[in-house]
Amino acid sequence: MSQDATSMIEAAGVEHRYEGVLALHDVSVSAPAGSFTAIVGPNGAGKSTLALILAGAIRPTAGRLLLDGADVTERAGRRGLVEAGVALIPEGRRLFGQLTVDENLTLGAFGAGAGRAETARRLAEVYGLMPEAVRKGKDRAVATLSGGEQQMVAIGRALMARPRLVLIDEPSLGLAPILIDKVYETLAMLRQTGVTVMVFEQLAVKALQYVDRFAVIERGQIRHQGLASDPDAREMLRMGYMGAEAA
Amino acid sequence: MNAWLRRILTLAGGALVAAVVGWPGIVGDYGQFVIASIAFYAIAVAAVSLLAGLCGIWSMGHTAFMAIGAYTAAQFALHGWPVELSILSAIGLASIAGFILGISAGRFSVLYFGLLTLALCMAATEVIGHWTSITGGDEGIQVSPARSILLGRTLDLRGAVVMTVTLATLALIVVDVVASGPIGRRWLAVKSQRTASAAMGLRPHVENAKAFAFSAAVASLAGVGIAFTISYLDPIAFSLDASVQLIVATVVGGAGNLLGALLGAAFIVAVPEAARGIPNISVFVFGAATVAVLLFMQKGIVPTLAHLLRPSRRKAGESVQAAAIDSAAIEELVRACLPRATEGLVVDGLDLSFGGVKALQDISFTVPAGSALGLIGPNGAGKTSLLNVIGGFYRATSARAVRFGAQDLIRQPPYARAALGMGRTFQHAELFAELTLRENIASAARLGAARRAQAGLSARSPEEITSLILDALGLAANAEALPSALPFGVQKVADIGRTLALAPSLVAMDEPFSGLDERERSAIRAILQGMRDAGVTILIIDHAVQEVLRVADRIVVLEFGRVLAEGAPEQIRNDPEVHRAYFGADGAPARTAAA
Amino acid sequence: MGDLPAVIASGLVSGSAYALLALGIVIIFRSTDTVNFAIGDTATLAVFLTTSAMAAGLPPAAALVLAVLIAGLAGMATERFLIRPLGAGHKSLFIALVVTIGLGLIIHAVIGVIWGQRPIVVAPVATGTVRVFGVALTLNKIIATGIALAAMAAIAWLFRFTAIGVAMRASAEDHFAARIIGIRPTVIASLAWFIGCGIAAIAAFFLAADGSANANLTLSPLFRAFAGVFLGGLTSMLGAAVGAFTIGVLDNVAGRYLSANYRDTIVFGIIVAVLFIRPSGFLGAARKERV
Repeated sequence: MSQDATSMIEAAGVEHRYEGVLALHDVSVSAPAGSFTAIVGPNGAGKSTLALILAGAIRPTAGRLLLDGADVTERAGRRGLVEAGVALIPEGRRLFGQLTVDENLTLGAFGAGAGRAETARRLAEVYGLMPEAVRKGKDRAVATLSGGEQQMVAIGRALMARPRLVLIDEPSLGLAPILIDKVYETLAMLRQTGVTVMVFEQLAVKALQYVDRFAVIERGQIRHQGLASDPDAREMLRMGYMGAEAA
Repeated sequence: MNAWLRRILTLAGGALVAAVVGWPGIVGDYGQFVIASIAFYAIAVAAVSLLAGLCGIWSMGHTAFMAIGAYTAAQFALHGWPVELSILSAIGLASIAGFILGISAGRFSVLYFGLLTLALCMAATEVIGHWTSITGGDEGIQVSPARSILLGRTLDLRGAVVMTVTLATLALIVVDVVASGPIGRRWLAVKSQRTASAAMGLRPHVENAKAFAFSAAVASLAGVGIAFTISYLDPIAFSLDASVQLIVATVVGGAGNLLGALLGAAFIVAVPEAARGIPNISVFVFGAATVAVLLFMQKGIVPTLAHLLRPSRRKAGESVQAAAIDSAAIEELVRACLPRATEGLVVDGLDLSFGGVKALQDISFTVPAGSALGLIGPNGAGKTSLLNVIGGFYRATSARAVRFGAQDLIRQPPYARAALGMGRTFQHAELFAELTLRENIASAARLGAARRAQAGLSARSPEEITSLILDALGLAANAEALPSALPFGVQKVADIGRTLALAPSLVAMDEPFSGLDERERSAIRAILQGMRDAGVTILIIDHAVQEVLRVADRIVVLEFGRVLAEGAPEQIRNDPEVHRAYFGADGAPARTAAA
Repeated sequence: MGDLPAVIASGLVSGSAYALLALGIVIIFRSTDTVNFAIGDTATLAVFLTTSAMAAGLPPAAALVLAVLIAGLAGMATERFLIRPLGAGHKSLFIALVVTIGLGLIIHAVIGVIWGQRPIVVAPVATGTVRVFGVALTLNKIIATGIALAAMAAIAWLFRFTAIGVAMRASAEDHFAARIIGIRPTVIASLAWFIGCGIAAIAAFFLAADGSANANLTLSPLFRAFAGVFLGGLTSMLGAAVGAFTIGVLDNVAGRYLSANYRDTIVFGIIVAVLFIRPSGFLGAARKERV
């Protein structure tokens, strides 16, 4: 996924350290507008850090972040790029568990600066995507919902900001297989509406069923990248996760 | 400054002041009053400052301990009992009260404990105000002159001032000796890393309680000084305002700094004295000084100035080099520091649940003596929970056995495991932030001395063991640096060194490879290889599957809290079940459902 | 025990002032993790300023609004210029506390310089007494309690039904997540400090309206408010309010039936007992760090 003119989001030569601890080392990834991309790799490989950097939630210690070809590295680290149309669903979803579904969703629009009428319009639209149980439980505290329902609310909260780009960290975490498919189907549908989608996923094979491009990240570096349709994709995963046979 | 030079200077300074005050006709009444005030406040501020600096406990209730000292002294003097006895009694009473209060400090955050001690201060003020038979209530109580049996006479006011200056000098020296000695290192260790210090065999709440008791005892001496030099006890001296002043003095001078304590004491005495004529100005100066110091010199005046005068000597440390790691040196180190591995770890049928949620189910594996077992698994597999059970931080819900050698571990608290020979390293190194690498390792080496003696290893001093470890792990060049000044790779190596200094029979390693770059990882690899070749029993838990596959003899794979697979590294690398757990369903990925 | 209803009623009346202070403390703590010790002094200063205005002819209702505005703006300024520069993080928690203690000392001194050491006389908002369920209460106290309850209801409404209020709750629950979805932490912090110090000014206003005011106007109520906060939990607004009323009643009951001389000590005993049974308070959320 080298640089190309149509990249909507791009990290160029990004390095990140938390108090000296290396999380990412010279990572370059990009996603063209309208694409569906997976960054896959084992736990602890640096996926979450990369997601935060691409969302502008933290500023990389080195390297640049480009949005629509413009350098936005300096804007990163404060409020993210919400106003520029980038929405992040962070690791663990980070919903407001004590707040109701309605309140969580409303905040998604509030954070992006939407007015009252606009919020109501988006709310109706987003509830259309939600499963029955979520619609019925809109006044329940989010913490009382099931994991799958919470994941849908998290996606809903992101959509309330009317994003052009959605970044999702570990959408499959803690979900039963059937719910994982449901989440990915929702993301695929979203992509059909023109939204660029990026998932950061440990369960690579599942992600590869839905996305068109992927990159394997391991120990803070991009090890392989390619198209999901590539017949060698499976071997790339094995190499990326488990390494070569011992010499 | 050299520690002994510092103490000798303190002693000389104290003796000089005492001599000047004691010589009739040099210092007038007012001068005596000011000197006495600085002396007893210096004692009190040193007590608060010690606790804040070494333990991170901010007490706003220390005036209560001063009151214990003061009223004990007043009552003893009233009965004509000697001042030596009242000093000892004050120390005894205050340290018992301090120990009880301190043991609870670990339950709360710094903030909560600060508020709690503040409430203590308000309650103490009220008790003083109403317990008239002892304190004279709001009207206060007159204190009779002190009678000394050592000197065989009754002290006049001048004598009391000399005594207070002497007490202050001795208190400062004792505080300095404790603070910069092994006990102080231990308190600093507990302050910065409670978990790591417990894993090393220290009991954090007991260390806190001891520190609090010591600090309270010191503070009570300030009370004794007040009683005899002011010769009249007014409850105002122990009010909330006085407590706040002690905090102001500590903050202004710099927590944990003796010169700072003296400066802080001088500050809280001098400001009101200088501003006698203008009402409210001293309160204003206190407030403004506190705010200004904290906004611009967060460490306090003395430490900030010291830092400016002596710009950081510590160079940015070189990162570890694999080349510097010599496996022969590590083997020699292991032979010198570690008992021969004869005990294995056995985990059999272990279950762990949190409120009905099963985190671990029926986990069984063994780490035979002298082998390296790798424990891997995808996110949420339960690796960390398992490590916490082994370390004693969680207790298994049920288990047929968790044994180390012949020793049943199930009911052993974390701090007892180090003595059994279980060492562990940490994902984030968790070195003691205010100790140099050498002190970090030496503090462990002191605790490991008993195990080395038990195993009949050559009688090397903890300092020699420390040097040996620093050399063998390539840390010698960075030995005098603080962890924060060093690259993360060096910190991780030092963490391993600290564990080896405990003379463990098993080393459990939590993510030794995480957060490191390729060069640093190869150094860790070399150390692990050396330890393995020397026959150390090792348990490695890590996300970096490829690294674990390279260094371990056997692998256990966890998934959803159960053992998914167990076997030799090559077997695990090609196990389709492991592939499924790590990156999804078996078989080549097919583009089936893409919208 | 025949006067028990009266003791409880007067406990609830004083509890309403503690509850406002406790709410102020909690709202500020939830936004910036700062325990604002200057909250009482800030409110006291605002009240001294407005009593001067009242003496010059400002009607009490307008004076109350003015006091809230002054204290609120002072709170915002405190956050902006003293707390924010300290930076976020675990280590600055205690530093921030000491800074607010320092600020409290400064304000205390300023009040002493301008108005002197002697208490100033404040005209009560209303005179006369009313009998409620057989208990005689001054009209002044009834109005004070009524306004305090109204203020608490307004706070509840704000946090429950307005977008910014919901955003403040969200931010308190998870600063990071709130920032990620675009909620401005600086706006939340400013607003919280405004509201926190503003409602504290309501409490101080009615404490003063009991007849006189000195620089230590809020010292003892603040201690009780803190006890209430401990009881309910530093993170729960409802808990703080309930806790403060409870302390108000317990304090009065203990003062009447146990010992009038050891009221602070009894309150302290309650705090210690609560903290040992439930360190995070009865309604507070257990936070990641030790509390």
